[in-house]
Amino acid sequence: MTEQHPPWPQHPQRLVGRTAIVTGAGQGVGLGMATRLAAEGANVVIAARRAETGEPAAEGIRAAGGSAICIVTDITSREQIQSCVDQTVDHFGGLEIMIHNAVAGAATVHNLVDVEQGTWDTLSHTAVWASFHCAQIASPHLHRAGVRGRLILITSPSGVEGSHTLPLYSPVKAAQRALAKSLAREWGSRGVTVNCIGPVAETPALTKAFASNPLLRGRLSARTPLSRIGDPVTDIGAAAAFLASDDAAYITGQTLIVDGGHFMGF
Amino acid sequence: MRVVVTGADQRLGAAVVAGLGATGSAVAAVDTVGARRDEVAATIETAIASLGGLDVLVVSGWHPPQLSPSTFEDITDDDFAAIWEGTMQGMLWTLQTAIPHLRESHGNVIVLMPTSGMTGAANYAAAAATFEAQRILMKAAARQLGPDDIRVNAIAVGAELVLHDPDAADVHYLAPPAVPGEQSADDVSGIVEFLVSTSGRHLSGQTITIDGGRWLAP
Repeated sequence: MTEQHPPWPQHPQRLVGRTAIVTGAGQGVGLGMATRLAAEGANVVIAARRAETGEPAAEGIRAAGGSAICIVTDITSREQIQSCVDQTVDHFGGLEIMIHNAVAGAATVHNLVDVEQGTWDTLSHTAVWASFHCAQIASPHLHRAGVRGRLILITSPSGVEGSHTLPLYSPVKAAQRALAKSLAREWGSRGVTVNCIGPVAETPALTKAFASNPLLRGRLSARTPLSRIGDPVTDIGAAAAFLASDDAAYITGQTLIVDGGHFMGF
Repeated sequence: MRVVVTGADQRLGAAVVAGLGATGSAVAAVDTVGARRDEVAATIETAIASLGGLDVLVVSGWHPPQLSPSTFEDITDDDFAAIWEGTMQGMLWTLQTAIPHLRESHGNVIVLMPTSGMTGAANYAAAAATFEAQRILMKAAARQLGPDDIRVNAIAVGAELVLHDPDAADVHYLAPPAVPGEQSADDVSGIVEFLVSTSGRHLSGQTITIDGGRWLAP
């Protein structure tokens, strides 16, 4: 899809001297955001559960001239998030931008009447508990960064409108929005901003869904005013870079829906 | 109507129990907040059996019932687990147990929470996240259960009814309430009766906010 766009203009260099952690950055939207943040000059930490995806992601960014390292992190562990943040600050000297993007269990269709404990636990721990821990552990560093401090949580239009097929995905994504609003209020006097992005993009998960249901791509595109599925780097990464930059210093507590106009609920 | 009210030991739930009881409903008052899945299922099944079926499930209550302010950095994992897991799993397993009974009666679910999830709330971050999650689980349930002719809606009350420091909510709003006067938990049961009545037969997935016309988004 990307090749249909006009050539991307020279990236601004809005994030030079800043360090970002992106969870779930081994692939998909996380990698797209990490790639674009690095292209704007940020030091990027690929916080991935598996070195097999995280290391090549960091290597790819370095090969393109960016600054990136992989820190293998299981975001369901408070201790591992703490360790990731500590290593980041040791390595790069600070932490200005924390992006929690990782989620597990979001692709398994389920019914409320018989959904199991495990489905809830996976979604709850990866989306909500990890947001809580990422925010709390990054907090002293973001506060030190002041007007350059950013917390960005990746949510979904499903967390606003409710999902028919993934009913437990909806509340965990909603919790992230309310957490962002609350922290925006709580941290605002320091200049730190807290926002959410609700993306729809070409990701391994979506590719898999398209493969199992060939009609899905056409159906999704047809409902999307911009008639295409978003690109993790040029569409979602660009939105993340904007929110991370000084250009968005007066935007906080918001959810930016980046989905080609599919959802227009606000 | 045969009604089960969860969180009935708390202010909103108790007001609904009293209000619906006064207008002739058979009401079973239970508490499933913070309980395990099997405990919730047993409690709800017993309550439904005592009523001989279920027409309306009212989900309310959270743990701890008295919301005290806490700086985000001071929230412990235990605090977070109490309100987040306790409230959400209480709601989820209650709903799950009730669904087969609601299919038989083509019944209704009403979820009660304060507006704090929609506004966001400084020093109540864990509670706000929980309330918004309840509200959006309500929407997902409305979508999934609609084909069974089960309707699911929410009633949001002004945050000043439930926050420890009522004045703390003032900063969340653009303006004072449109309608002057004190809020009361007693206002809730009448709205429940309207939502589940035939007048509401095409109403589902909605949040009715009874805060005097204060939170007016979107």
